Amino acid sequence: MAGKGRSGKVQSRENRNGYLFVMPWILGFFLFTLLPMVFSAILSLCEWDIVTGLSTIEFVGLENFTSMFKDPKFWQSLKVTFKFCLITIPCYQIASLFVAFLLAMDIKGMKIFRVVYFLPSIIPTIAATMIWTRIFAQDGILNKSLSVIGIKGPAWLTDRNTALYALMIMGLWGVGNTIIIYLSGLQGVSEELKEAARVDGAKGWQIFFKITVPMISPTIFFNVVMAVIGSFQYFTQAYVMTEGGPMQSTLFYNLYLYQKAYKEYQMGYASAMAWVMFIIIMLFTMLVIKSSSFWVYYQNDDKL
Amino acid sequence: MKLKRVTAILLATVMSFSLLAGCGSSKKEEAPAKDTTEESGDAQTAEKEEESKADTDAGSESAAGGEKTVIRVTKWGDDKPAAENTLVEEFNASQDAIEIQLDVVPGDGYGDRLTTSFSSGDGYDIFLSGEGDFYKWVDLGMVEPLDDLIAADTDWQNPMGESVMDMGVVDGSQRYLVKDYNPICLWYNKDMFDAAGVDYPSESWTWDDLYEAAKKLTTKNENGEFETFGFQAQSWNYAVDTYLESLGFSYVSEDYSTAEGYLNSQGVADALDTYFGWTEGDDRISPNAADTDTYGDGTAMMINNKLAMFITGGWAKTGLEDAGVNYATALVPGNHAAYFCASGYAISSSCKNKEAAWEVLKLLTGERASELRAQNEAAFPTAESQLQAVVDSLSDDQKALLQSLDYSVPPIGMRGKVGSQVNQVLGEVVERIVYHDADTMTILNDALEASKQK
Repeated sequence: MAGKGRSGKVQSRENRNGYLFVMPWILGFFLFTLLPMVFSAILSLCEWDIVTGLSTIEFVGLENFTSMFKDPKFWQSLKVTFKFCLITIPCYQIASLFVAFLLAMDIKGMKIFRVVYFLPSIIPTIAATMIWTRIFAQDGILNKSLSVIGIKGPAWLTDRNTALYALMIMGLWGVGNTIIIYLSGLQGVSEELKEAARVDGAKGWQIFFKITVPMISPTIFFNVVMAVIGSFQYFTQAYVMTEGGPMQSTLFYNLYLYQKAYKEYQMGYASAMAWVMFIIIMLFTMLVIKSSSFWVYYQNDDKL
Repeated sequence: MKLKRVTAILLATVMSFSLLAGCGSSKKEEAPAKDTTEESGDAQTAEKEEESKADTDAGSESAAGGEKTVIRVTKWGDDKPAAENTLVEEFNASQDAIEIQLDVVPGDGYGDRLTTSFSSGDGYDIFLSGEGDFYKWVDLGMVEPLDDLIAADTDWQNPMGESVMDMGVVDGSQRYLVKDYNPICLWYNKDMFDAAGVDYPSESWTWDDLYEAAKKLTTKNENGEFETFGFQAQSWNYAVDTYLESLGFSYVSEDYSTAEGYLNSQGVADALDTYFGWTEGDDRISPNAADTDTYGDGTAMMINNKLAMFITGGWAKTGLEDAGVNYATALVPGNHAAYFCASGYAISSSCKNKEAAWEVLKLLTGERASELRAQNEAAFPTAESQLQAVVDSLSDDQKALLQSLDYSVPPIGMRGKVGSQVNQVLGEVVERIVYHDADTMTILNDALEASKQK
């Protein structure tokens, strides 16, 4: 009994120590995540011009939401964001998987290739956007390359028909993180399984689609979820390179939200927008998670 | 075990409090005596020392026990030393009652920094604003009226003339003290005019004369690509608005009471069509947005002998001179009316020590401030005594910059509530016209409606 009591004491002391060690994170979470979230939920039902202090917050009920749905710029920002997500999420995944597949090959100097493909991911976004602004200029490298094959390229970022696609192309450059995750997934695929398929007469593409893809489906699932969350929150590149223009063709949802909050001083409206986006992201993430039971294969049945 | 527990508690406490770092108070104990007169010889280093001193002081108990009133000042700027750095250094070393903490924010992020600081309820005591936002900040209730402070300070030797003081008046109340101002005029590259055999711009020029000259100055190479442009019809609102004003148009009525029939007048629509038409087609005389993306802004293009004329303010002087461009200035064609730019300091309405802030405001816009600005900065200083020194330093080729002041008109953002509302929608107007989103009159009518919602 005495031993049990002592072990109980040790246990509770260890628990207490554990809590103390995680306390900085818990405090940070409450102060800098949960509290602002609650505050923004309250603000979404209020009008606040942000610069005049908390005393001027005024309750307006659902007015922010109703005026949002009548705001053509809100719908334009949703359209731009959805278009971007629908095109880039599958394209980036396919491109990343393809590059990862090449990088998984066992050939000489592969480590150098892996570094080269990952390098753009460690370049700060702002620096990368500066480089790409020059690449997309009318006399930039991209148009100079196109002119070699007789194509006269547009001024990518100042043409409303091409600006959004330019940002999509630029995004391809920064998929290094996704590639690395796919690469680790590919390296985990059992050689025995592939060998067995080969013995049974399976061709290369059959092995890829029937063995490799199902085996890395949890990795695909993870990358898709992260891509859904990240793409809907796209902001920095558009903020730096196009500021939503030309003619609102790159007015991403988060960019418009930012403009509402910090350029037009409508923090209530911006908070309401943030909650709408939160719901949209949650819905799509849930959709991917729910659908995962149909296409994600867990070897050890360690499902979410 | 006990040691482990104590360590854990200490570590957790330190980490927790590190999350809360950054909270401060507006009053603080005076630090132990320091030799603040020590010359660093480098204003940037001095500023860092100032910040580090402030940080150190904030957490230290006073040995001397005296209390200083801290006045927090913010301005936009880059890493080049400005007059404010010297002023603050001199002021803090000269007396024990007030300490100025200067926060210089890069221009791009200045608006956001100002907004977030005020939203937290811990805004700056004094902030710098561009003339375009003068009305907006007042309308948001962020600016303290200065009239009572001025009336109470009978000893104040106002170094500014009446017209400069009036730049800081909003709705009949003195809200800002202008620190410097910058007229806008036409700048041209003399070498390009000489090479093309075109006469320099003169006072009698109309916009038609400018267009004809610009046509001769616009050239193409053998592949049909543009080599040079005669004039830059910029999308920058101040250049567009100056063009309209010099043709006798305005977005708002003379008494600033309405934009109806002004912003959406046929004259304004036709003038805008002409202006932006200069950037279109194979016979254009002006670079368009894509050209600017390629060759850089007006100053960069003029430096590279790609642009013969453009409308801008005195800030272009340094860049052109550093690059050795043979440039000159001229009055804007037409009736010569031109916008001017100004920046002024205001005491924020949330400031708790207004008398102390007033002392600092006087310092930032006073005689010594003007003297320092006259020595190092491109804009005109506000003190009359110092203005003459700048005027004397202008060459004949730069005189139009000064003459332009006689024709200057306040920017749209300074023309009451209606002007401020119109100012907030002009960016979209220009973009829609450039991209032919609709016919210009429709765009202007839309803008009028949108301005009423602001």
